[in-house]
Order: sequence, then C-alpha cells, then structure tokens
Amino acid sequence: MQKALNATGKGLISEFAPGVAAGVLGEWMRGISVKGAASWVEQDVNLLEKITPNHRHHLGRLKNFCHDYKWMTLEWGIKAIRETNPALASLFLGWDEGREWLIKQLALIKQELQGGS
Amino acid sequence: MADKTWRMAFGERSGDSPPADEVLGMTVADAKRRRLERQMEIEDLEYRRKRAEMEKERRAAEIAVDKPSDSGFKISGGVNLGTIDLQEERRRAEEKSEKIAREKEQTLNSLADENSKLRDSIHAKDIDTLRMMFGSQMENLQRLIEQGNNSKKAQGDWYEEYQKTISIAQELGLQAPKGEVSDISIQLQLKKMDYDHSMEMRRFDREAKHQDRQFSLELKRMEREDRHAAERIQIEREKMQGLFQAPKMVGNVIAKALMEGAGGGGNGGGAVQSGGQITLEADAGEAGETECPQCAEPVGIGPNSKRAVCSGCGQDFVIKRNNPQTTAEEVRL
Repeated sequence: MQKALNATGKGLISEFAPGVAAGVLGEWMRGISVKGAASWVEQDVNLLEKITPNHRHHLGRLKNFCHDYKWMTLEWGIKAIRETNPALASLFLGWDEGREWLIKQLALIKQELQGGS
Repeated sequence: MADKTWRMAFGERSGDSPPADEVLGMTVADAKRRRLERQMEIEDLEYRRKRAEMEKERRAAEIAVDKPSDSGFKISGGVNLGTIDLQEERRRAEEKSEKIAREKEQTLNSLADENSKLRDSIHAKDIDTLRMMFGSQMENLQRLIEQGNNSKKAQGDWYEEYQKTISIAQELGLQAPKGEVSDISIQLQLKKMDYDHSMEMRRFDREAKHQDRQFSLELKRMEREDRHAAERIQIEREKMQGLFQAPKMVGNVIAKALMEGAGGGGNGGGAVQSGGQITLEADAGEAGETECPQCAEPVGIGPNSKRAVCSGCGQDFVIKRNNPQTTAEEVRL
C-alpha cells in the first residue's frame, strides 16, 4: 500500500509539477522591481544564480517527479510571474529584449531540471 | 379322589396365607394331580372294560357247564372214562380264573400305585425346581430392590427381573390382580420408577430442544458475522479504491484547469488587444511602472521599449520616448 501511495504521490506531483514550478518562479519574482528586472535583462543575468538556496532546493525536488518539461513555455512563465508580479509580467510581454531573456532563462531552468533527472 | 378347587392369585394376601413357595408348589401339584386323575380315570375305565370282558368270558364258560344246585340233587353218572368230576373241574377253573383275576387286579393296583408314586415324585421334583427358581428370582428381586435406590441401572435390572417373575408366574397359570401389586413397597417402588422415568424423558426432551435452539442460534450468529465481515471488506475495498482515485481526480482537475489556463494564456496573458491604444510618454532609457487605466493593474515598461502590454486586460500601450529635457507623464518606478 505504501508503494502504491508512493507511486500515486509521484504521479500526483508530476501532475502538479507545472503548478508547483509556477509557484516557485512566482516566488522568485516576487518583489523584483521593473528596474531591477530590466537591469538583469540588460546584464543577461542567469536567473538560476539569483534564486535563493531554498528555492533551488525546491526546484531540485521537482526533478524526482517530473520528466517532461514541455509545459515550461513563455506563456507559462509570464502567467506564473503575473500571479505575484504583474508589472514584471507586462514588462516581459511588451519588451522584446525582456521576452527573449525570459525565454533564455526558462531554457536554462529546463536544462537544469532535465540534466539532473 | 377328592375334588378340590384351588383358587389362588399370585401375591394375594390372606390372614393366614401359607408361604409363597408352598402356595406355588401346591398350585403346581394341583394342576399335575388333575392331569393324573384324568389319566387314572382313563386307566380305570380300561381296567373295568377288561374286567367286564373277563366276566363275560367266565359267564360264557359257566353256561357251557351247568352250575350245580344247592338243593342236593346230584346227577352223577358214570362213564367209564375214569373219574371225571366236572364240578371239581369247574371249581378249579373258577378258582383259576379268580386267581388270575386277582393277580391281574393286584398287578393293576400295584402298577397304579407305582404310577402314582412316580407322578408324585415328578411333582415333587417339579415343585422343587420351581420353588428354587422362584426363590432365586425373589432373591434377585430383593437384591435389586435394595440396590434400586442407588442407581438407575439397578432399577432397570429390577424391573427386568420383575417382568421375568411375572412371566414365570403366568407360565404357572397364575395371574396378577389387575392394576395392583400386593406389596405396598413394591407399589411405591414401581410408582417411583415410573415417575423417575417420565421425569428423565422430559428432561431429555427439554435438553434436546434447548440444544437444537442453541445450534440454530449459533448458525444464525455465524452467518451474521460472515455477512458483516463481507460488508466490512467491501467497504474497505471501496475506501481504498476511493483513496487511490482521489489524487488522480484531483490531479486531473488541476491539470485540466492548468491546461485551460494555458490555452487561454494566449488570450489571458495580458495580450488581449484592446481596440484603442494608450500612449505613454517616458524618457529615453527609462524603465518604470505605471497603472493601467482600464484595469488598474501595474504595467511595466522597459528601458527602451516602444510598447507595453497590460498583463491584466491586454491593453496595448505605445510608449513615446522623450528626451530627458522634455516633460513627460510621470512614470512610477
């Protein structure tokens, strides 16, 4: 029964992975100002280096349950950021460079996750 | 032989009744004596018949030779055939016949006496045998009566012996008075045995019914427990199935919601193109944040972006960059 529960837990988390990852991303972007994000974009900062160790730990746990990251798209990222920081979301929506930077960061995150699974 | 009528009933008590064995012996002897009397009568008749025949023969012989009278007449004649004394001859013949008859009678009497003696001895032996049997039977009965109060088996044996005694008495031609036993103690014992027997049968029936009832109740209880166990198992099974289904259902709902949200992201991602455009003025290279006039959502503006989109309502903003000296609409940073 424990095995079944574990299996069910893994399946459940894999179903919840997009939501969980969205929550994590939203938390990362909470409190970041437009100016600060703009500077990150201009400096091409790696978002993974900016996140806290706790958030990185949560991201690492996601690797154990999720093997497919097709859902990690720009729309998903903007929607996730919009939950906590709408200004930032609109920034990435309207600013081409910001959008490209976000796409790149999402690709890096995806690579990080896929590289560890 | 005297004709006596004996009438006795087994166990009948009188004031001066002889002992039971004597009574039994006398009764048996009486029966056998009657048989002997009948036989002797038959023999007597036979003897008389034979005697009559002999008498008849004798008379026939007398007819052939005249009987001399007593008046003194003598007829004598002389045939010189010697001296023939017919009377003497006749007298001798009579004496001889009488002698034969006497002998025969004596023989018959002696035979009759011997016969009666033998019969008496047989009677005595039969009586002794019956007396011994009856005595032993009574001893058994007495013994079993004494043991009867202690064990039911002894009661059963006593009853069997009593039945045997009754059967022996019936063979002897005796009959018990209907419905009653003479000895009051035996009556009491019999009544007690009947009572005990009936009580035992009632108890046995009661116990049998009770055990049957208990057995059926136990069967019903076991069936009920089986049903409850099956129901509990079914409930647990359904619970587990529900438990396994719940996360799947929740995950499906969430995934569906996410998919619907992502599907609408094209529209809901703040990229809804409103009909009108709003122009914002900002300095060159200036990034900041403003409020959407339509939905009051904060709108972020990039340093050199020429347009902005509200993430809440999709309102499109055109950013007009001014030189730093030029006044512009304040942009909240």
